[in-house]
Amino acid sequence: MRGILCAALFAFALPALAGGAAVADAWLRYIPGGTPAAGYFTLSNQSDKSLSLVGAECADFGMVMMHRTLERGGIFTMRPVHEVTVAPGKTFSFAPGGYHLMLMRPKHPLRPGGRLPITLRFADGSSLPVEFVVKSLQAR
Amino acid sequence: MSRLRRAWLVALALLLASCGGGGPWQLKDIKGVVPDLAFNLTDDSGRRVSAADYRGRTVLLFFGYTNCPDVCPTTLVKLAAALKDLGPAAHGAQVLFVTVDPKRDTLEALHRYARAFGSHVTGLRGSAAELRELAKRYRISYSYGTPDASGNYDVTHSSAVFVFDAEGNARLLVMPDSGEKAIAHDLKLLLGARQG
Repeated sequence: MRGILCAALFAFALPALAGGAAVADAWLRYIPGGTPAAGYFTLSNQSDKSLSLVGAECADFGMVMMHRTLERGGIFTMRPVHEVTVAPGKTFSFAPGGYHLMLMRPKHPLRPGGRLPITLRFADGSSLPVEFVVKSLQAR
Repeated sequence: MSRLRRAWLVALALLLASCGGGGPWQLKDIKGVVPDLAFNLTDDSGRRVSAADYRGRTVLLFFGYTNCPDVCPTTLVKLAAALKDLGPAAHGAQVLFVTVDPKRDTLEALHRYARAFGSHVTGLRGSAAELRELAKRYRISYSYGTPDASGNYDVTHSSAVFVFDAEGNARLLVMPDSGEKAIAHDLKLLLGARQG
């Protein structure tokens, strides 16, 4: 009885989990010092509706933004990204040299091999908690 | 066909193949196109340095900034991996990471960042005027975005890595799509030429 009550309370307190959204290969590159870190992952949409990622949150960083590195005419530019839409049955990769989560102002030092919970937020108000692995600087 | 004639044809084919790429290089050849290595900056240990301090070494010159979480580490990791492929010969190579964001990149931050990528990487910092002069020499550009509420801003910067030989002559250009193997291949040739 108590278990059921607790489960009911939890279900009430948590925001709706994104249905059909799955994340694989979620990792961060460890950089010493307080410099921003980049987060990478592959998002797949296993539902029959399009899925729009609109942001991410992490309690261990002051701010998380979605960014894209663009290379044009020999120049690198970082552009903020407000929305990434994944069609039904498709996947989308955040990978080095392209789309990435920019995690700014770490609240404590990261440790290679550690894990970091990051919540992805979607346009329909749902969210998905994801565990990111902190990889060494040499990771690619 | 006689054996001798066939051997000649093979030799000719090999010769043509080696000429086809415009030399032995897999990276972009910039010899005689880009000015030789020259700068006056401060290294990440606080020492004033110029190109003369790196004479005798193969120099890889890259422009970036430490608040760049994606493409700067990606490039530096690729260069470090290529150098690792070279084994002990890599001691003749030096990566110089010039910050285009001297306002935020203190020498201490630059030192910590550069060393994280290996002992072959040194951070360099200049005054606004020194940086401008360097950028003009290599025709690289950089600009700053509008700071957000927390004062953070993005920096736009040149994507190429310039490679200079032991005499300071510009030789090769590493592009964003250059592979680690191509970089290692060409550095090995450059470093070998130095020893030979």
